[in-house]
Amino acid sequence: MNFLSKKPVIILIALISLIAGALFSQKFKSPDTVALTQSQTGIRGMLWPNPKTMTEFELTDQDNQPFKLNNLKGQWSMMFFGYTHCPDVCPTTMALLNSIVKEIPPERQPEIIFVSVDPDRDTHEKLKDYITYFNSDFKGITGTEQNLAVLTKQLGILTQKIPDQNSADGSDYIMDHSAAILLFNPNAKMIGIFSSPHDKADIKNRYLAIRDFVEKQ
Amino acid sequence: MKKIPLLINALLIPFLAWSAHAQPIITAEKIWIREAPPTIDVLAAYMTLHNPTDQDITLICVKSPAFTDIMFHKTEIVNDIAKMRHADEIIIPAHTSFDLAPGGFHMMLMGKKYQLKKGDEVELTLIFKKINNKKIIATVKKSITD
Repeated sequence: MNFLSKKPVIILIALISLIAGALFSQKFKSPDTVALTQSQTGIRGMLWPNPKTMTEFELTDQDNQPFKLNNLKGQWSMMFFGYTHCPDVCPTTMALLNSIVKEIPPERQPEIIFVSVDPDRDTHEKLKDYITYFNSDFKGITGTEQNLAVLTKQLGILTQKIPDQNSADGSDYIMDHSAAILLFNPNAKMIGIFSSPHDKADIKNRYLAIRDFVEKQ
Repeated sequence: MKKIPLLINALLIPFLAWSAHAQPIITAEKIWIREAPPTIDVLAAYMTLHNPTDQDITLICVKSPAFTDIMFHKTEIVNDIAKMRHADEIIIPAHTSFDLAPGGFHMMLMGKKYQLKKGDEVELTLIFKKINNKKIIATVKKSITD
């Protein structure tokens, strides 16, 4: 009798937990999970039919010129986040992006944008030197921490400054950063996410497949 | 008179035995440094270290005339986030090879003292616990396949 009287309460609690759980998991889905579930095209990492619309951001490029949302319009772009003091993942990815671009005919090459998440050390001069080393057509952009956050937050890109206690004077730091390569269509919408580990042929093929698919719509 | 060579031998044998034991028995191959843009003074060195002995061997630090400081770092990519973490030392287990390779462990070379470009050679001194130091030469390359 006692149990029966409590039954509706138990059902209610179970229902609330279920809804809360569903909402929670929706909120904390990684961008790639969303891409996988949303893509009805069979192309892994493609955000379809709802590519992500972006809001305005204000950064500066390697020539100290403004780089805003509008700069993503008019061409396909791939964006990668990193910093020049990163001796392993960043140069590996930059060299990979360069080799991908070189294998694509000029008229279908995407613009490559390196976003430095370390504005304290990466001046525009340093960025220019860095990207030019890999490919003089690459763009290198950065901005204040706040302005960078405007871009990274809407893209679901995580960055974190980690103090390096082992450095000579203890003032050095390491930046944890997303290793994903993001793809934007010429309307400045994020249409693809290439997660790590990165493979040259895989990224090239998926980029071309996404582009072919969109251009046939 | 005959006693003198004997005495020398008696002194020499333990020394030879000791020096054989103390030789750097670790071998290093595929040693390279990734070339970096001129204004970048943080580089990475990679190699494969092989320990043919029955004992684990610990690499405690590395020195080079081309850099002010060298540390061990490990790159980990977890949930698509690249993290680089300091490692105090590198243990090369007995009869095992240890790879320092892109996306895994690397020697982080800091404070470049002069410009390094593809083809240059850089001396690195590996300093081990218990066994003698080992000098090796790393070649500057653009990539592992360069």
